[in-house]
Amino acid sequence: MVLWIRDARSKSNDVAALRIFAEALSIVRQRCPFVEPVRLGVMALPVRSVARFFGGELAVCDLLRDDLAELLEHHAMELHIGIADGLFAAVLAAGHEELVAAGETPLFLARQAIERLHRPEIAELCQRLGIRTLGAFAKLDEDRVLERFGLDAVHCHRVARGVEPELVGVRDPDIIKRLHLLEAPEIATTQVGFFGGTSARDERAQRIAIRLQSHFGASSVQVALDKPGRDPAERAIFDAFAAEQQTVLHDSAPWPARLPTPSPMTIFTRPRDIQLLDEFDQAIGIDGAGLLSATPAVYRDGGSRYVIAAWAGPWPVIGPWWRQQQRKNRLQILTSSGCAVLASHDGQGWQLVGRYD
Amino acid sequence: MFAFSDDANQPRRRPPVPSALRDLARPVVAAAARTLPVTQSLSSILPRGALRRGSVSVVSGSQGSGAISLALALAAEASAQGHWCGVVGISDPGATAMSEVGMDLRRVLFTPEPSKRWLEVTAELLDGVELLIVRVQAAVAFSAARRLSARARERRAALIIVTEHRQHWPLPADLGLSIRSSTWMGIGRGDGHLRSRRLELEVAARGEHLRLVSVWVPSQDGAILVAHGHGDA
Repeated sequence: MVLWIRDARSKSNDVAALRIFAEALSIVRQRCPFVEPVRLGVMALPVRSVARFFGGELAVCDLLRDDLAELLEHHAMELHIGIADGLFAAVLAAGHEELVAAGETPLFLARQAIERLHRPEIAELCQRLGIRTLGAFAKLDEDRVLERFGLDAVHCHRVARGVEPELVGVRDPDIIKRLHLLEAPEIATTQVGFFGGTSARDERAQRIAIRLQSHFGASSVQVALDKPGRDPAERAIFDAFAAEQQTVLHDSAPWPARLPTPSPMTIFTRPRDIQLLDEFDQAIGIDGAGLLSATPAVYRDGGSRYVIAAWAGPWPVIGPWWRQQQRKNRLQILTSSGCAVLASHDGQGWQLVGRYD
Repeated sequence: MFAFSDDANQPRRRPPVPSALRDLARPVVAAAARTLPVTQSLSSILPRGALRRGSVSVVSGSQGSGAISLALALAAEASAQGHWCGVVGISDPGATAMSEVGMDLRRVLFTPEPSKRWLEVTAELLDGVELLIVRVQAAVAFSAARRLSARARERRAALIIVTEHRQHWPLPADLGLSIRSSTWMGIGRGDGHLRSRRLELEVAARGEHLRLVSVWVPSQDGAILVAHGHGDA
């Protein structure tokens, strides 16, 4: 599902628009913690599980419209909602205010004009060849596309066929960074008197930490620095205790695409490879639409097998803006013994990254 | 001194003091010096509603059952109020989860992998922190347990042992919290997400009857909640 807040886009460099967008994001996040900003004015959320919870896709649309009505009315903005498989199709669907039924995304894409790819060169060449829709473009042979148009066109071709969910360029790689900068002033940067040295307690703790380090090595005593991030593993670093002042960032703002709380109590510094299997012991991956390719039944960790009682996700976790390509998917798994773990899929396979101890 | 003792007309045992009266009669200041605060909702399951300084508590539960979360929940309020905490033997700790439970990470010293020297590290840390969480993976020797208990008592620190099996701590504990079952809520087959966890606990406090209670760690809104007590077991 994509929510497009119109007008916010037209003043794209305006901090006020960014602020309104951030506010809208936080409103939507209260209904669905997995909403992620795509670019200014456009946000995407995985609608399937939300729809199941609120009783259908239309119900979700109505709820979000109600939630956002006051904010958008106040700023004279319009909300367009669209649903389709894959981000590219969903953004187009939002433009048409269309709720594309499951499985009909290829048909919907086929009707769209070739200009929707926002690749003027490809559009021009296609026009000359008499190709005016994405459907007609999709019918071309992939090898011929590569031959005639080059690599980027192959990517576009796959998107047009619905094989790849996302068109390069749909996302604004800087949007998360800009939202962070916006929220930054609200983060309390506390200069902690780790040992600002007033209380006797602090001095006592400092003395012992130094003593331990002298006996057992500098890394034997560590402190945690909490820093904002989307990934639980990125959100804290442990560092050797140091007697000078430490800066701890307090994370008060909700960060885009962060996992819902509670967070895993154990974060494996060396994640282990696991296999996610369906009831026939076939490996499960992530399909083009970002969904599990089958219903998970078991996961295998080394020699052990764990029966899966419940699961949630997969949720996309976008890497930091300088690592856009490293898209990961997160899956919460509850085993039949009542143990909950967090798994991650990096495009190759699954890894166990955390446990809810 | 009052002579309760050898009067034939007096019943042998003192009648229990009504709880309302006991609350009134409690010496507030002195108690605060002898105890460390715990989250209000957890205080109802602890003897005298707090963690006693110099005491040893044992939190036991199988891996992934919530024992670490419960131990940190016990420590959270003291940490939030500015007391120093130590965490020994918990490798790969999730700092985010710890701050969600309520720990103030600015005053937590971690010794993630003390390996074979955990006993020395623990004993040293007891000098510097007021609350120490130690996860043990195997049975603790009787002599080591004795030494640590004595050190905690002497340094007036609260020691919380986290273990998979209650038997790993060979001494009677001042407080024993054993997780009997743990149930996650909020996650379905492909929808929702992990929201809250209900722990069925066996509470064994020194000088009290064994009790069964349910606590939520975490609860729906992230806080720790006691669902209800079952009375005596």
